[in-house]
This record gives sequence, structure tokens and C-alpha cells, in this order.
Amino acid sequence: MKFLEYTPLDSINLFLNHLSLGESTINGNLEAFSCKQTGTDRKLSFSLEQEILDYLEQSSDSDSASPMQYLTSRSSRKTLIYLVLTLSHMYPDYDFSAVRSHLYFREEEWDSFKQIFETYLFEAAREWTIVNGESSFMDSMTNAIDEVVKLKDCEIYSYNPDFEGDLSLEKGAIWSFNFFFYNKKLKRVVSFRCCCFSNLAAESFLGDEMVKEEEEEEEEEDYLVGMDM
Amino acid sequence: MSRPSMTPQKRAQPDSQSQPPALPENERILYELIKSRKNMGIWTADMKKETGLQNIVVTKALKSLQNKNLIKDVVNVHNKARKIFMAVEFEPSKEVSGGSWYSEGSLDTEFINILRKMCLKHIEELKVATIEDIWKSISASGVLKVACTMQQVLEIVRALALDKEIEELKSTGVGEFSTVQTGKVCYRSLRGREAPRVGHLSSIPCGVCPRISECTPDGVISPKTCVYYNKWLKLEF
Repeated sequence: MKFLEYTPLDSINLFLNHLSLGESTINGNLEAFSCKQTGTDRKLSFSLEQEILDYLEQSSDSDSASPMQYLTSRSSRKTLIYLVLTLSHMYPDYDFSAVRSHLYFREEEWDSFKQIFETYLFEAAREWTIVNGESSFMDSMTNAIDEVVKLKDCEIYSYNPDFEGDLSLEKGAIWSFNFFFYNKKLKRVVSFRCCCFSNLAAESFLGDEMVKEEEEEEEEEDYLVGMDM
Repeated sequence: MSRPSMTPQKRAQPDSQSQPPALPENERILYELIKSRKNMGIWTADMKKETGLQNIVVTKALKSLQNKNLIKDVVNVHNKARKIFMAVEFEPSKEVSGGSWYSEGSLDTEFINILRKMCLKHIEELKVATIEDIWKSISASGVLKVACTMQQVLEIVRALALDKEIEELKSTGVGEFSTVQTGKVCYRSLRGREAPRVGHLSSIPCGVCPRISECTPDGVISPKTCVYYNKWLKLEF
């Protein structure tokens, strides 16, 4: 998956990079990828395909109502593999299993994305309008993504790992979400991930450090008090 | 003309004293770092933090080191998704591999269940047994295809005690315990037997009542109106 540079995405990323909202800080990132595969991608996509086919073979006796039935179609497998390859590029320090990731992906509609966006990024949107005048954050983001992947031709997916698999929870995020916009025709994927950290948690750690330093200073002063100067 | 042939040991194992083949700078830095973590291995994100090298550089170097058979990737059972690397000459420590109860990164529940059943069975046959007795008895039966260690038996037996399937006692040296040295820890099956009795006072509500100091026959809190007794005697539903 080749990373694509797009200036409209840059301005949004600049805004969402460490956006401090008083008690919390938001970290958001829009990344665009083309489905063109590098050598390592090809190797990984081959092993992912194998993993899926092996799993399908094993569970072929069980009832067909499992979510895995979608993977019997080659095009669905390809979509899943592109999404997992994108995840591997976004998180290069982790291995992703196709079978497990498949459980974490959910097909979404534009409306459900809009709802999540408006709920979680309400304060951020307010900030954006203060800084950028008339433009609404939602519109700016929609236009930016549309430039890369023509939203009306896109399939939308959300990635919702369980507690063990959630990489942003590892760093202590309060909430996070991750959406993928996949345009099959253009062979491009745009990922939008966003997470929120508490400033108070970070502050209390720094606070303890400062109190320790102050105490050390006070002790030194006491030594001088009793001396004849 | 004959040269003295090299001894097998020199060829078979990588001699830690010998120089590894000359590595490009980045690979050398990473290889030294990975090697320094011995049997714990190191995560790629930590490698980048410690060396300050970029992702692309690290990925390429790791691939090359793997091809040269100097490092291998391992799975840490506590963080299965992380990419962890270790020098080939080390075996993953217990913390990383999960120890004897893990096989290929996941808990070997089948093995654990089989061992549990066997321990229970042998404890019941022996009536009263120490860890050594249980282990000897299981090993002698020859049922297990894989050898189990005394440490494993100890861990299983402790779990069974916590699950209240057996009880752990100190031998008195007399009666049932005559086969076991006085004072030694041994185990007995709880099947068909009541759980160890608790002290009598704690089995009635007064014994564990938080309000006992305020309780009088004609006070607001009294035995007559005690809610705990009602519940205990099942008068309230």
C-alpha cells in the first residue's frame, strides 16, 4: 500500500495533531493509500489470503450463518486484505491476523460515520470554526476526503478491536475510532483515526515531579538558616 | 596433504567469541541492541525509540538480519500483536512464551484439563498424598505421552485446592496421615466431604455483624429486629 501525499488532508491533520481542548487532547490523522503493493505487501497479502482460506476450510462443516461466509467471495477477501495491509502500514510495529481483524471490521453507512463524528468531535468542530471562520469542520473534512476517494463510490468500514487488540487503549486513550473509506474503482483507501487523551492524567504525573523538586529546594534552604553569616 | 578436520562443536554452534560477519552500520546497531535483550527480546517500537532510526530503515535492516539468520521473530503471550525480535541463539523466557502451559502462544487447555483429572484421580487413590507422591504416581502410570514436571504438578494441585476440589493440609503423622512425615504439606480429596469447617461464631450473623457494639435487646438495633437474622433464617424472601 503506497502512502499518498494530499495537501487538503495536511491542513486537517495539522489541526487535529495534538488539539488541546482544556481537559483533553485529541489526536486525529487522515491518511491516504493506493492499493499498489510493495514487495513486502505482496508477501503479507499472500500469507493473509492463505490464513483466510485455511480458516474457511476448517470451518466449512459448521453452519453457513457465520460472518466468515462473506470471505468465500474473492472480492471480499481482497477488500479485507487491503484493509489489513493499510493497518500494517499505519501500525508498523504490530502484526495483524486476517481472521481476527475480520471480526473487528464493520460495514458502515455515511450517516453512522457522520453521527460518530458529530458526537465525538463536537468541541473540535467548534474550535475549527473559531479558527477558520465560516467553514464547518464536517464539510471541510468531507471535501478533503472526497478529493482523494470520491465518497459516493466508497465503501465505509469501521475498525473496532476488542480490549486486547486496541492499540490506542495501550497508550491510555479515553476513546478512539478508526474509519476506512475504500474506493474499489480508484483502488484507494483513506483512513481516518482519532483518539482522545486526558490532560488531567498527564498533569498529575508532572505535578508530583514538581512537588518533589520543591521539597528538595526547601531542605537546602534550611541548612543555611542556622548558620552565622 | 591433510588438514586437521575441524571439531564438530566448532561447526555446529555459532561461537559467541567469533566475529559475526561484518554488518552495515544500521544492522550492527540493531543487532547489538536485540542481542543485549537476550531471552526477553525487544519490540520494534522500542528499537526505534532507543536507536532513533526511522521506520523504513529499521524494517529493511530487520529483514536483512532475519535473512542472515541472526535474529528471529517471537510472540509475546501478553501482547500477541506486537512485533518482537530476539537473537537466534536465545530461547524465549517464560514471561514471553507463557511457560510450560502455553503451546504456540495460546493456553494449552487440553493439557491442563488432562493433568487436572489425573491429579484428582491419583489423590483419591492415594487418599493422602504429597506433591512428590502425586508426581511419582502419575509418572509411573505411563498414561501421559509428554513428561510432566513436579513444578507443573504443584501448580495444578494448588489450583485444584483453590477450586475447592481438594484440600491442602499439614500432616499430623497419625491416623490417615501416617504415610506422610509430620508437618509436611499434603493433599486430600474433598469429594463427598464437607468443606473445612469455619469457626462456630462466624457461622451465625452475630459473629460477623458490623453493628454488634450497638446491639441491645431494646435498642433500635436489637436481636429481635435484626435483618441479618431474618435473612439467615430465610424469613425474608
